[in-house]
Amino acid sequence: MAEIIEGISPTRMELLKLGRRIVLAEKGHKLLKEKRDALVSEFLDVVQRVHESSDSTNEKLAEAFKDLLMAQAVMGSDAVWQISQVTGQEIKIDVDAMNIMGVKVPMITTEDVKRSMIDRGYGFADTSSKVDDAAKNFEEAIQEVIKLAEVQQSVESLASEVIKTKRRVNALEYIVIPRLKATAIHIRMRLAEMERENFTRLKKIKAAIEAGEEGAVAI
Amino acid sequence: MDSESRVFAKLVRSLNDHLPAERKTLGELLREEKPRVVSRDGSSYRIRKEELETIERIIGSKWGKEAERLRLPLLIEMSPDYGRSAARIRGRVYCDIVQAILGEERKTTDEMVIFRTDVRRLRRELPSATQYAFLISTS
Repeated sequence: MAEIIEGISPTRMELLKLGRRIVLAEKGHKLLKEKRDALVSEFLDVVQRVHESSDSTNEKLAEAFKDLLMAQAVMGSDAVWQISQVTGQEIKIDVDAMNIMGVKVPMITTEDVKRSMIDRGYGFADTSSKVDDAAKNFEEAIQEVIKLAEVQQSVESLASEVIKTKRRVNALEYIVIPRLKATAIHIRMRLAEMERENFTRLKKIKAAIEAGEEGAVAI
Repeated sequence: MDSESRVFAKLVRSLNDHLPAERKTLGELLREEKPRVVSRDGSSYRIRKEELETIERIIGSKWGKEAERLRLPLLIEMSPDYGRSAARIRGRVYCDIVQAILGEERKTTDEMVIFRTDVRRLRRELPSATQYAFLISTS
């Protein structure tokens, strides 16, 4: 049985107060459980998105590196390096926050980084088609990487909030509510005991009074 | 209000701190370059423009100009009174949006109750344009 709360006097008033506290604690517990369930559901959803996103990122990057290797094999790594120097691109990333039940998760948006072959800025005549393929795949991979960063950070933030809420739910479920209930039972038992004591005392007083009256009549 | 009720009220308030202090209309949000709402705890957060456009597309045809007056974010009301993980959507326009996203038609008046899987689908479609609200009856 759970511990009782120390320093509570066993009175009917306290019992009523405890009753109210138990009702409120149970309501709070149910509400927090709702929040925990919702958070877990969000968390599982984000975890699934992380898996999907990491799979597609790996796929895109593998393809891009394969094309890059092919391009280096055909043109030589120096030539590919030189092309990479003229095709630099600035990627604008907008990092903001989204709110999931009080948990701030990042919202990263980017402009479309995919460019046409002309926009990339290198000549077609002396370059292999593998360079085009690699550039296209890397551009696609960049967007996947950004998406992955967003969901991975969300997973971390949500996980810590799930743990925090779970701890609060467990504290109410296994410590606060049982303790309140045990104290209420203790007070109820103590009041019943006091009632029995009073009953016995009254009976003894009555017997003593009756014995006194009988003595007086005999005299 | 006794101290226990005050503690409970504080708990409910803290669970709903993320709700917007004032909900903006769809029209206002669409006009903003980076649509944001300020929550009760003073912080602000962003709503994705694509989600706003999705909502506009869904209700625009049925509600016309009225759609612009729709207040966002859409609230998913969670309460133990509806049963575990069930949620309530209140408001005819909001019910229309939810039905369109879930791809089902219900005979609803002003509110509808949806369950865990539907809530997940709705959140997946509109993660920033919807918010959970935690409610409990006072009785």
